[in-house]
Amino acid sequence: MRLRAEGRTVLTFDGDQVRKARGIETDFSRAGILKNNYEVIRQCESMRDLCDHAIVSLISPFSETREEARKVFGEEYIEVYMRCAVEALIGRDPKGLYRKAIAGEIDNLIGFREGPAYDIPKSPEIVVDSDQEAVEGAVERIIEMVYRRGVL
Amino acid sequence: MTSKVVLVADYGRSGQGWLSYMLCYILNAAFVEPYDFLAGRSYTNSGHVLGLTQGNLPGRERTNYSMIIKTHYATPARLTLTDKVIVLIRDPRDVAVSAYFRFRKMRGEGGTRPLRSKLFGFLKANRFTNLLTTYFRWVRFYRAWWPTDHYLVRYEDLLIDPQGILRGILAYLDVHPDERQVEDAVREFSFATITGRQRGQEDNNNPEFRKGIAGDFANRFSKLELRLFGLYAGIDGADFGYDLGRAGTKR
Repeated sequence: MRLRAEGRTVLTFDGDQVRKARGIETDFSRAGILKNNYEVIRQCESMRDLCDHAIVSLISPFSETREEARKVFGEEYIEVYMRCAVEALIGRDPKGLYRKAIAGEIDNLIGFREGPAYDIPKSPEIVVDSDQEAVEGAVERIIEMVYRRGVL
Repeated sequence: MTSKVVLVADYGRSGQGWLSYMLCYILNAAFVEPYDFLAGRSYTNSGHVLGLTQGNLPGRERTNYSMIIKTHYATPARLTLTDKVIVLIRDPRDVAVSAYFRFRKMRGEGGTRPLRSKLFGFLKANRFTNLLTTYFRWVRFYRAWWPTDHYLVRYEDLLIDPQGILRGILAYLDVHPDERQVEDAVREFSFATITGRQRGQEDNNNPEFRKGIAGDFANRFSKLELRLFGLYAGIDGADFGYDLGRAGTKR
């Protein structure tokens, strides 16, 4: 909203919407996630000349796809690592995934118990501790980074 | 140069693709159908259309507008992409007929309908309840969009005077292209060019561009259906400029 209020065209890629459109809501296998992430990178690349910014919020647990995005978009790429204690995630759980994982109904919740491992980002531009920081503050820091990178 | 978006909102079955393609050509902008885009699908199988609606026309400069994005969502408050919105509306009786034929085509192909559609298939398979269902949704859609800031286009007017309507839209967008580009757009995306048929000729295998005419409901509705539809929908229809109260009457 902040960027759009400044007259910029901003496209958003929400992981759930992408998965729904592709009919892969339940495919959280390593291969499925990688394929989905590479596809989103390709789509963002195809929109590069058409919009000012693309905000991609989706599960990208593997460093290889993040490195690919960094390679493709260079200085325009801003990686935001959303960090949160698992206790807080269990408390939120809007989709009921943690409840299912705890009950043993699913075993593929990324970063949780025996689920697929999450590659912790090595050099994200921004780290947001979402269980400690207010949304407004995090948004402010991200916008500031966008300005600093000169992509606004 | 900034990248701006034109949002084209309609209920569906109202000429959105046709209008959007013409605008893409004139503005040298890319057409984006969000759901197909996210799914990694193309919005058309036509090489002719694709070649002219990607925002990369040879020898043509870009305008301020880089994308024409379509929506069928009745949630204008959530769509904050742009302040340039075109609301496209069509006689709900024609929309209902077109939607019914599309439903039959999709049902025939099988497997492509969402679960909810399957569950209510027994209702939708009945022609009149199908028409009424479309009408309920049509009213909900336009009630949501009506109070917003937008430029209104009627499909029936677009059929009669596409150049004139396009000129009005372009003035709203504050774009002043060569008049020849407007004429070229109308020709390149004429019904005959896109479908290989004359207007009014039907191809049930192509539900996206079925007949390209206004008033087909009069050939499809029975007299009883027209009367019942008018009784039910007359008041709502008048709110949006359509006289649905009497058979065969348009605004």
